[in-house]
Amino acid sequence: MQDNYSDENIIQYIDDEMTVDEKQAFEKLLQEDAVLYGRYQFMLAAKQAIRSKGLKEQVGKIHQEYMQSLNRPAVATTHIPRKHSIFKAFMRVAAVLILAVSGYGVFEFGTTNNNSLYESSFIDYQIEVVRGAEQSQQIDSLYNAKNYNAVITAFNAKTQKDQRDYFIAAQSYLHLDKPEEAISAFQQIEKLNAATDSKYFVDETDFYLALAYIKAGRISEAEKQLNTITSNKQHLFYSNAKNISRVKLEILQIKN
Amino acid sequence: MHVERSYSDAGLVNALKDPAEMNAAIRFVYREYYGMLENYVLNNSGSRDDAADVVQETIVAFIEIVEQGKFRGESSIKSFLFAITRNVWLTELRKRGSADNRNKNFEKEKDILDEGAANHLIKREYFLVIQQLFEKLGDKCRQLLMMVYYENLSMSEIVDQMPGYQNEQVLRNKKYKCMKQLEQMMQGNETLRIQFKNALKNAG
Repeated sequence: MQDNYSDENIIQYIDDEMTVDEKQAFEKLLQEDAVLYGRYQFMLAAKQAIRSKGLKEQVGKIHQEYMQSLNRPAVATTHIPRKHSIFKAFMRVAAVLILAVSGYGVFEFGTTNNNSLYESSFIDYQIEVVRGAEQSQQIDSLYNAKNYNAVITAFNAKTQKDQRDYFIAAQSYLHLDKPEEAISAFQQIEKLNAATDSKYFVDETDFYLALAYIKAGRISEAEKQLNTITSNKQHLFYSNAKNISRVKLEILQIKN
Repeated sequence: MHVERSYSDAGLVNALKDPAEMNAAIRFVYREYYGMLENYVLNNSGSRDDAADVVQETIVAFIEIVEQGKFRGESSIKSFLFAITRNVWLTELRKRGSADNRNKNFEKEKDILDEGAANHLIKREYFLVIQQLFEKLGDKCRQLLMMVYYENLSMSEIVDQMPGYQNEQVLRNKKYKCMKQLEQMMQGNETLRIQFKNALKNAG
């Protein structure tokens, strides 16, 4: 079927060049005429692809700039104090440093707790909803809907549990502030992975288990777990583990 | 020399919608998230060059999703970018037909973004084909269409920059002709037509 609208009309609509009446009439036809709708979508895609091309060039320029900045060695500007002021300058700097370090230490000690460190390191994990069995799909959907209690109920009702089920349950336990239960579920994944060649969520489990230990106040175990991750630069969560402050972990050791 | 600006998630979304702020916002995204996203690709059989391509694709896709109001802010920007990167990289691995077992496992664990964002990534697949066809247009057409659809310039502003066209109406006619030419090339490309049809079906 060929409609009465020319490409010119479609472009006018896309570019918002129609009068209100023309626009209403066109939109009515779009709803009724599948061929016209298809042509409109085609033209719209062309417009969006052109826009996308421009955007890609814009991002590409910033990408180049960023890459150059990574290769540029840091330029340290050194100030050479005059001889007679070296001691005074040193003492001043030392005094400021002592004050700053002790102030920072007091602040860090006061504000660091299991939850603050956990929250600052936690990344909300998103999962897909493409799984075969209906029961599995239900767990996924409940998780994505942030209905964590229902996830646990569905998880417990499931007779055959795989690594993925345990992982989703563990994530839900973390959201429900039940770190010990999360730890057990993560440890189950480790056991299942150890017993099979088809390993799932290995890196994810390493990292989130460390976070669960932090949340539970089991700092020595968290440190051990983080050390395992940071000893492997290829680990998916290498940077995340590296970013967790060891000073804060020490503070938690003392506090716990 | 650029002033380094920092943004909250909500601030970043607003900045990406504002042409005057966009470059600063993109630079912030690079500073904050490039390392994490690059690491993901490197840890999953990718090279540094792969990572560079994937992260650029991720950032462009993210800006488009934000511009179209499809970023609902239900997850943090960090998680969202991570999910896009996974999606883009896994799609690339699938294209390469890698038989690597580890990749297969990752494929099974692929994140799914919410429907609007996931559909946008599907769309971007055929954007690439359209962009290749766009390159075949003449210089004047490409210049004009970029000014209209990327720079969002008005016809009067474009007349000033393209003195070869006497007035706005002549320019408007030229724009129709260029778009028509592009559309004909698109209609003549069977792969694109199939991709497009499938994408429309997916979008419901």
